[in-house]
Amino acid sequence: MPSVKAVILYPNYLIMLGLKTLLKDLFSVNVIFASAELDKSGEETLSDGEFDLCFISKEWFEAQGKRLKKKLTPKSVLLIETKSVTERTENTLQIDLSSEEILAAIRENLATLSPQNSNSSGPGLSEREIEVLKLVTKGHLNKEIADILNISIHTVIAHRRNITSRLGIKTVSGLTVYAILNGITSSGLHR
Amino acid sequence: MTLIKPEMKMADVIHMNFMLLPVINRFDINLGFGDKSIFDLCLEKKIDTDFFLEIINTFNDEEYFPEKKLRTFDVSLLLQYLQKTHRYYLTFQIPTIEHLIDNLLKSCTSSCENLHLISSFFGDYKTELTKHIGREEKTVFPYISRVGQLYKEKDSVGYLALSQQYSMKRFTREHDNIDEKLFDLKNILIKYISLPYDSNLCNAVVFELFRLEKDIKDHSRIEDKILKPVVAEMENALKM
Repeated sequence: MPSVKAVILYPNYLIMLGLKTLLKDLFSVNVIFASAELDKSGEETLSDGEFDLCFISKEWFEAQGKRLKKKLTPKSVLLIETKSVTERTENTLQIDLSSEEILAAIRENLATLSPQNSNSSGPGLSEREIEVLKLVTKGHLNKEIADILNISIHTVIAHRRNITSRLGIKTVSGLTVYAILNGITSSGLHR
Repeated sequence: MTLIKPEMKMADVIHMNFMLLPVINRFDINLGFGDKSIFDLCLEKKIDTDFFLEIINTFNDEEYFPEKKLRTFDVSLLLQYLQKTHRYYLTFQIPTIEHLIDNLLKSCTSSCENLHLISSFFGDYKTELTKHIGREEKTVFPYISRVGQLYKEKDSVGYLALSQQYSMKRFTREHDNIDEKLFDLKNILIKYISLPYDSNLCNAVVFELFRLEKDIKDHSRIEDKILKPVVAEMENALKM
């Protein structure tokens, strides 16, 4: 299993260090960069985008502006919320959670990372294939998928063949499990 | 691949391919063979030696093509054997895998959604397999056993009536692929489950899935290469 590459950017040194240790020791995550300062090297790491998951304080993420947000997919960012919030949102990690809750939240987020993100060898699915996969898991037939995406049924069949050969999964229920495991059809995470 | 012959010692055969153990169990041959040969054991258990050899050779070697010889067997032997295989899946292999997945779920402390997903996927597979087997045993096997009887009695008139209800052609058309879901589940576990679950338990599930998949493939091969041609031949002979 290739380990997940993570970046940690958080203004509190102790918390940053604690998170780093936790990720390394409990989840075998490869923390490639961790800092309590948002200096030039931190910004560079972010814009390089050579990581699977970025733990960043909400304030810093907001401060980075649109430039950064465009580069990062929602799946690859885990915002660290410093204040207590009653409502938990999908890709937010609250700092005041109990140990049990915080481990569960991290585990959940690691699980939604698609294999193409954590696995540098071999390409993942194309955007179009992901669209087709989503419709397949919703139970649409090839003809319906062709109509929805405005493509020919032959193209749909070709996409499905590619999906199956790339993932090694043949059945609709197998594809559905794959899609859920990889956050492709889970509620708040898909684009 | 070595061809298994009647004079070979059963113990040597198992040393050569231990995966044959559950197969010979279906013939009521169990561990503790001593130095007995296949021929001795078949005699002792009143098993048709040729039939036994064809089955284990088909299992042992994917390239082995038995048809010709097997056509001479009583089809009820084949049905008995296939039914025993079905029992083995439903009462042993499936529960074994279920038990392993349960243990995996028990050992999981938090955020176990992915495992529940796997568990329910396997549950679906179990339902599918049970239905598949039920259909074969309720409709197909009784039909085949009746054809075998009519064939012995050379009763073409009886067959004409029977053929209105069912045929091997229909069986071939309706016989769905039962190993695809299993293949997917195996691959999902191997390629896409990346959480720190108990590795030994995960491996055990994957091992068992490989075993079940292989066994089901061999089982389907026996249905396709032996059962279907044998019955089709009897049907043809009975047609007026």
